[in-house]
Amino acid sequence: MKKIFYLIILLLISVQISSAHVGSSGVLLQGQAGPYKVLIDITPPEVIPGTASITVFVENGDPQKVLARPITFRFGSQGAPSADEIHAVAGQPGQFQGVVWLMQSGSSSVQIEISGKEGKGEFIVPVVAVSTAKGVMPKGLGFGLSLLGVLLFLLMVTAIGASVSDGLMRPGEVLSSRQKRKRWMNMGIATVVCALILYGGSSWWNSWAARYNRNIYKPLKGNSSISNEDGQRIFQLKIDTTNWEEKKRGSMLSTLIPDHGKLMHVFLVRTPGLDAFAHIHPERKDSVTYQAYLPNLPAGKYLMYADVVQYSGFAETIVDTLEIPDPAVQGNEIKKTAEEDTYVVTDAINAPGKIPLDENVVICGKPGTKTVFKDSSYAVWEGKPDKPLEAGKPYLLNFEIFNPDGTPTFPEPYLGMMGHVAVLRSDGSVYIHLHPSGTFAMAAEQTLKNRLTDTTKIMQRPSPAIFRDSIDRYMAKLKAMSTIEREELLMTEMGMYKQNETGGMNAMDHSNRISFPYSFPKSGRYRIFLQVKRNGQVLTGAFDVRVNDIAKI
Amino acid sequence: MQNTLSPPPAPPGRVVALHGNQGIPFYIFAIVFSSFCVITGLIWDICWHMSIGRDGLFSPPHLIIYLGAVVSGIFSGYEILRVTFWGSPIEKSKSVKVWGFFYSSLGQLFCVWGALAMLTSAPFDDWWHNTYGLDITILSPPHTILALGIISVQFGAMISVISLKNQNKPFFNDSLDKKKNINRILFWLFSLSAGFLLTMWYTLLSEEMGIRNTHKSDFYVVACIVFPFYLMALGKAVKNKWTITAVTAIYSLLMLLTLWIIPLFPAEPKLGPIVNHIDHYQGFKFPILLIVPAFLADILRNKFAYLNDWILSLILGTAFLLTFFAAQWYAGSFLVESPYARNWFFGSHYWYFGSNPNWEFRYKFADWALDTTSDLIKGLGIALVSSVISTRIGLKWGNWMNKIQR
Repeated sequence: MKKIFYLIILLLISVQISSAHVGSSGVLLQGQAGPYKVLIDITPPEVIPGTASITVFVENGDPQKVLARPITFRFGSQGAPSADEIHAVAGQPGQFQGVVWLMQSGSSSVQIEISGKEGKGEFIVPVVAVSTAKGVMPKGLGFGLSLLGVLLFLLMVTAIGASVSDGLMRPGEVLSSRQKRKRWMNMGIATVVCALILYGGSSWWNSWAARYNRNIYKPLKGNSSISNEDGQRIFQLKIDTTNWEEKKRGSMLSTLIPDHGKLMHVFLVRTPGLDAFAHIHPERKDSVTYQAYLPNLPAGKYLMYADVVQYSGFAETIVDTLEIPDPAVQGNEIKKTAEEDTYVVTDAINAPGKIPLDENVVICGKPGTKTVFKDSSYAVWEGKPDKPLEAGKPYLLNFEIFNPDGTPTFPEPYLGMMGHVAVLRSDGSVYIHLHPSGTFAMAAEQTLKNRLTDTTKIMQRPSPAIFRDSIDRYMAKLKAMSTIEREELLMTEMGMYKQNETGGMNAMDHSNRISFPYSFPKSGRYRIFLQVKRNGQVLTGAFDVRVNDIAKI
Repeated sequence: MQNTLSPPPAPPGRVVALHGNQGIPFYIFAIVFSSFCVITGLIWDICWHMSIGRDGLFSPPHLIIYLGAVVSGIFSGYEILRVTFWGSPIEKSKSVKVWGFFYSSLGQLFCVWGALAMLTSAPFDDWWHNTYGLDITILSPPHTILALGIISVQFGAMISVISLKNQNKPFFNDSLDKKKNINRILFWLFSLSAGFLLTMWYTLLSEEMGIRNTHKSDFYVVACIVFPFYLMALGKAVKNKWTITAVTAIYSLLMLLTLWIIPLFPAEPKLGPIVNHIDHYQGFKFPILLIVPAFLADILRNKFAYLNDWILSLILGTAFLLTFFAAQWYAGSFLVESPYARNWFFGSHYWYFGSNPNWEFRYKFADWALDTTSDLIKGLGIALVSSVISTRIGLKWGNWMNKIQR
């Protein structure tokens, strides 16, 4: 039992190895690989097995060689192939590009090793490997293949016809009318047989496609709803387990692990204006039901994104829409499920400047402008206002936090992180919950180091009942702690108190600046909700940015 | 369609073909060579997948296969165009007419078809991988088109040789020694091309006929369906004393040489999960003992050549099953169980990198790989019927091949 608990704690450390998302499958990380500061951009394939493309930007030093190696959680280092070289991009110093083969669906990672004059550095990047593409044949290819197919068909029928007629005749002999008839008959038979073979082939293809479609990644589904209890609105999410046996989902809900101290992170955003936002943490009532008190959100139609993480590091997002009614009783004191549950109201994305009335209002900012939090401290997003960003390009979203008097302020850890960001596209088709650089990477590094040194050849699924029980106890323990104790525990578990060679804290750079690496997957209008903690209070700010397709030269 | 497939126009009277000293045209060597390329490329490719795992469109084994397609396509295509546009009336009189315009031999037609099918499979396979993943199975729809193309190229090579041999029978007016010599070369070219095609045929079906399956009747049912029709046809097509033995000898030799040579080269798995760590290529397979029933079939068909094909089928079909069963059953035991088989010669220690090397049934037959006696007898009964029917079809097909002139 103790061993199992230890194993679970070990697994808990691995929580941050992936970030849940919708419509933004790329992985972008910034961190320290030994002596090198790196930014790593990975685009996983749309089909597994397939190749992920990797770009490594080394920001300092003189890197000579970059190696990449895919490692799956299930088979670990022993089951992984040797590394392949990622080659330098000509004319782009410090930039390396290549591919890595991802063969198995599920939680995977890419180990990147950089060597150069400054020495060696290693980095581990989590990748969620799932098939998502729905194959449609391009018209040109379809046309070309059909043409070749028809040609092959006719040629085969002709060849069979010739085989039984003039092919058997001595040189110079001519077909008699009887032989000609025989040829036509045989060609007729050949046509029928070839057509049957083609029909068989197409059924085979269809069954192959059907099997692929069955195995394609299907996001978890859930039904969210609001109920009332003693004048309090309660948010509830029931995970839909219909046909789970067929989908081989099995007991996965019992092997979820907390992601920075919470089993589930839910983001609620009012649509279409994205003008009301909440980040709450429902608790597990039974394996499919999660509940939390709803903060004082205004009524309306909301998009709901719920993030959960598997013990293997496989992160998923449940998406739903729900109608939130006005509270039945006004003016009640609103209860909270977790002290970190927060909400904010701001101006609508399509009607800037029109501020609703609410005690918890902020005005949406832009890059380069001062965006004031509700306690009058403010954040500045580095950048130029009205200058659109480009889709598909890796960015560091840098935010600096200031006290109301303009002096820098150092944010306090909030759920083990210096800050959280939720990125949303105006139509809700892109959503991601991001964390600052460094912290994320170090935790991942820690995890995969654990898996790398673990001699288990094949990771077996843990026992669901014991696993769930241990997680529930761990969650209860966390909840009973004081805020300071809890934050300290979370940061220790995530390896953020690890000291580097100089004796300083690696990820705890004492700075008022927080960076989030991100690459916008497509053009459009995006709203970014930034959450930091100051004086024991979680502050949420909102920023708008336009993203364009990469300018064509 | 009506237009393109119309019968050839009436010939300008009867053409008497006068043959000079007929040698062996160069393109015959070229297409037999391409038949060799496609099958060795394929076996190398399978070893590549067992040992390295991942490949690209232009991996070395693929290049060998494409070389075969290109050589076959270019030589056959060129011959067709040459005879169509610049051919002499004699050459044209030895050709079949395609779509009322082209002049081709049957063999060239199949070679061109095969090359075209292989060409078609490449973009199809590429799309397939992008859509359904980089599969590592032998048989998927695009791979099947490739396989059909390979078979057609090899079949084309084989019947090109057969037709040349058939033409030489009545139309050879040089010295007897020279005729003998050319016939000998043609016989070996035929044995090679038919042996390569047999190897291809076996390779395609090898997943159904693993050595671990040799103690189950299924193995013999499959073998009795797929082999007799081909082997017995060859015996009819080319009336040499040892036709079938020679073809199976080529098959065995090709299997053995690839088994012995490929593992000499270093190879390292590049796909996870890697459970079996290896540093050299894993060999393909020790040949199944087709040469035993082939040897007996040659003796029997020579001895009973006077019988009609129905009775002959009964004799040859039964003999095939009995000798093949006796030989392969014990060969199977030896290859699976004996420590003396775990060496470079027999290669039963070769093991896919993704399979557990400590699997308990690596060197013994599992329960599910054994039949009860009654199931075995029942299965062998089905195999016997299959073997006789397959033989009968083969004899018929062989008679056709023996008549090919163009």
